[in-house]
Amino acid sequence: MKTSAEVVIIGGGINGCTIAYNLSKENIDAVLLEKGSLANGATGRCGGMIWSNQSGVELSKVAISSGERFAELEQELGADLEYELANALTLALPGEEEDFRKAIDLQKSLDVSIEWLEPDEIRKIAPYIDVDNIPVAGGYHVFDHPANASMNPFYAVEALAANARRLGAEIRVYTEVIDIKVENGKIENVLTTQGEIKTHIVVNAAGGWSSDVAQMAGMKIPTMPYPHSAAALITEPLEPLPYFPESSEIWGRQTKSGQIIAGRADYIAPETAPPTKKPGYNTRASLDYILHVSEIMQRYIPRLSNVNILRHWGGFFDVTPDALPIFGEVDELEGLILACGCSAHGFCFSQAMGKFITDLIVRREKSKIMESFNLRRFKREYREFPGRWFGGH
Amino acid sequence: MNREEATITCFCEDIAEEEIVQAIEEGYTTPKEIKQHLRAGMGECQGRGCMPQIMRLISQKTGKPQELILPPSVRPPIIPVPIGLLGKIVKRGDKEE
Repeated sequence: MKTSAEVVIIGGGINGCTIAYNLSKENIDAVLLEKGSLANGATGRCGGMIWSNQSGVELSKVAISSGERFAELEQELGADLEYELANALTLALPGEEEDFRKAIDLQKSLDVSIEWLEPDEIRKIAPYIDVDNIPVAGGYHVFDHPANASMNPFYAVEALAANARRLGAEIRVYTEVIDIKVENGKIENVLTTQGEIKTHIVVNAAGGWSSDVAQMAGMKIPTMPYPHSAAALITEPLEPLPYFPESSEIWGRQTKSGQIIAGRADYIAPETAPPTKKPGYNTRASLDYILHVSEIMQRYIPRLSNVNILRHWGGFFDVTPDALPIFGEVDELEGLILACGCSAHGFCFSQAMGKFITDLIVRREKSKIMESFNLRRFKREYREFPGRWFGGH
Repeated sequence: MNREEATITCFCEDIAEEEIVQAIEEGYTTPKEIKQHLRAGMGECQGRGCMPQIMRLISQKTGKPQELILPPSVRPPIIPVPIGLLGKIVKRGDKEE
């Protein structure tokens, strides 16, 4: 292992690997440390989905710029990442129409090809969806837009890591960070289970473990691992469905191999969660979860009844109190850079975030939008997350 | 690799022993990494057929004792179960909490 590096990245998920790749493209000497294997946390448990319909214009813009980068990745990295544009159909349940129309107007203002569909139109394009039984008040359809797509998260992480290595980065798996040494308000070195690395810049891309990593440098950050709807299940391959319907109850997509990956979308923010749903790293599968997702899938698409479920896994989000990511420098500690708190959208934002962190380290450039996600916002007044995910994402 | 003569280790995802050995040589030295890299064990039988073989190959190639090589997590429902059967168990509105 190298004993010194310009930048040490902690976390081998999509964010860490993207930063490692982008930095090594700029000839920055970077070491990435991952305590397990690559994509060991939320990345390896996610749906690999990229969505422009985020809460608010800033986050939607972040997702769009990220999506544009995702679209270039396969060619740039020279690997098949199963990148596919989404042909998305998101259903509005009764009472959600107004929110949907607002979101559609916002997306249209950002040039996303999106349109509102009446229940009759949904019946026409997807007759296999049981519109009356769900019941559906309408929905929206997004098509041919780079920020509405999907990718195999394992392949993405692997290709980013391989290319970062090729360009000179050191990617170390099964290497856990034990401590970060700070002297006179500056990072001096990182202590791992495999030795010590001298560095003055640490990027915290540890996702669900990001608050633990920050703690090692003596910083408290308001991120926490949150289980619940971050779990998912996958079916056996089946013939392509033109659309897999999503809603505030369910998220999902059909992969290139024909399998449906799906999960519950009714995420509940930590502060509104019942006491049994405490933050934590519990990624055990739950029978309740698999039964409920099956019930929803069967109710939405009755013909899925005969399709087999192959496996189900647990997961967690890396959430913040306002459900917005934490990007950028920390005022109190020189050298610590945060790339975490993505609150269920880490995969989606990763490419925009990777560019931002690289611009910050290499050129000291700070985009205005990304700066609005700095940690310092929590010292002022911020809007607490109301507790429900809109539109299933 | 000559596909006709290859020894198939993972039947569900059609992965040959040669591909697994190559992956181990490339540095994917845990069953979990091989699973993510090649999709071995992600098919219908969920690795019940191939995982013991993969663990044996890792042990042979790396010299690590087989009892120290841990299999990847076992994911329910273990055998494929139809959505219709599982979906019938809960009623609508019967929330998890």
